[in-house]
Amino acid sequence: MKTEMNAPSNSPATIPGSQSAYNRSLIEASLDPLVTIGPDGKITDVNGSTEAVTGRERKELIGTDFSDYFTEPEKARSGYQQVFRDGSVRDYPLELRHRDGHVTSVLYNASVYRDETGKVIGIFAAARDITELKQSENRIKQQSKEIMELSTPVMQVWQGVVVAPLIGSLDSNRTQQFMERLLDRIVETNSPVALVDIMGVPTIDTQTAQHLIETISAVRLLGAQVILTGVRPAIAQTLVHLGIDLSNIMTRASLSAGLQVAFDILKVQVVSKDSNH
Amino acid sequence: MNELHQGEIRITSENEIVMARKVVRDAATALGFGITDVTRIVTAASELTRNIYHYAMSGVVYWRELNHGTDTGLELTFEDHGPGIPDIEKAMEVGFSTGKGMGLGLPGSKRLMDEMTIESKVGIGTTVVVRKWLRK
Amino acid sequence: MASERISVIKLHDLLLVTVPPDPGDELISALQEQVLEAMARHEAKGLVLDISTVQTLDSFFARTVAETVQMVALMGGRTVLAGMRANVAVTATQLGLTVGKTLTALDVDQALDMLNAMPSGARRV
Repeated sequence: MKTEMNAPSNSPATIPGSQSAYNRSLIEASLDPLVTIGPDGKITDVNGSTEAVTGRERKELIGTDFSDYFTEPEKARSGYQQVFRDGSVRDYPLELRHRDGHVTSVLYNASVYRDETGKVIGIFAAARDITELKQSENRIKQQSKEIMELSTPVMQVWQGVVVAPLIGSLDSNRTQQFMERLLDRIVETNSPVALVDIMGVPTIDTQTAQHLIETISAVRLLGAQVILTGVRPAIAQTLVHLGIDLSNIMTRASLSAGLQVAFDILKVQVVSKDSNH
Repeated sequence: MNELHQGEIRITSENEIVMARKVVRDAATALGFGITDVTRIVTAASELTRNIYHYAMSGVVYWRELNHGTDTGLELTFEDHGPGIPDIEKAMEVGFSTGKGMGLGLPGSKRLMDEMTIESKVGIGTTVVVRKWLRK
Repeated sequence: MASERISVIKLHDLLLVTVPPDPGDELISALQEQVLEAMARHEAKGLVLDISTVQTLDSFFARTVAETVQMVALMGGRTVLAGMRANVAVTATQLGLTVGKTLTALDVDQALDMLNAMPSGARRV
């Protein structure tokens, strides 16, 4: 821990006596990389954590441009310009580059500091290492995506037929994702018929019904058609009460009935092997 | 990679509508938007750029990257000094058109993008600003 | 100035037009003219519009296609729009475009099959 410093006059360390030493200990004890920046964007002081995360010594860093140590210098520059303009900035994402090349994701919290007359003499910035946080976030995102895909599978069951059983309640986001996946699969498998089964959808409101109709409309644009199956009595009631016009859409009560229609459309006939019966 | 992450396209003829689509497509793709979102953004840009040409004969399309904390987005501004829109609410009605169009340009673009603001004064001109944010 | 021209190919009594990835307004309008001209010249009974490479489908394109479909019908032919991309279909739907009475097919092969299965001289708008 350093007790002797040659601090430039802009530095917050030019406070008389033991107060100064106390402040300095606080600053050095912080695990967060701390830095002060002058109005010209040059570093005026750093703590030990900043030295560690950049791989450079204090004397190297002081007087150099703050934005030099980031993977996106322009972004760093506009960050501290924002602080001068607005007085502070919160959770500004940047990536610090170590001398050896490796990168640390951080969020910067910074604010201006002033002299006794109230004039802004610099910026005080604290970085929060979010590497682990980011990793967790990525894991969660990946898992959410997998759950979404598992819960809205679109499977090819025959040449020219895909089946998409929808299970659970459908919100706007989920239906949007479903629509995109259904269309992609139809194109991928070149299937003119898509069976969308809603037996597993407990309730349906106007918005969900609208989304479903949009999906069916989009499938038509592609050159395929949707057969809506698994329309339970409760859903049928709701749809009619909501005034939803499904007269243009083929519907069947069960998935197997829908499959039969699909075969008719594709001119496929299923014949039993045991022809004596 | 463009350091500034912004740009403009001057609209003076029909040809610039294609140019605007190309520039916006490149900008949206570079920002990391997925293929469907890129298509949405480019389609909205096509509609709004054509509105400039159709109603005002000339104007400008500005695009710029947005960085609000951890969110990244794309903002497009469509500016003209044309006749202006007398009734913005009516213009947002699907199917309403004072030109030869289908009346889908403004309401459709609003659906395709996340945010839209329209400022217009009759006899002065119109500015439409739309934004789309990267889904996280 | 349209530097690309649309090529209209005759397949027996059908016409096939492949639309380029990002056609300008002038080219789209020229497409309509050329199609009608070819319909007259060959007395075709059907038209396949291959849009499998088209990246942007806005309301101008949609309107021109819808008009062309009607005009072709008046000349005794049916039109099939073939190969729309998934992302284009999602966007077009969100824009508010619907298929209406226009026939669509997943690809050119299916479009040709569709038209060939129709009786000759069928005229429906």
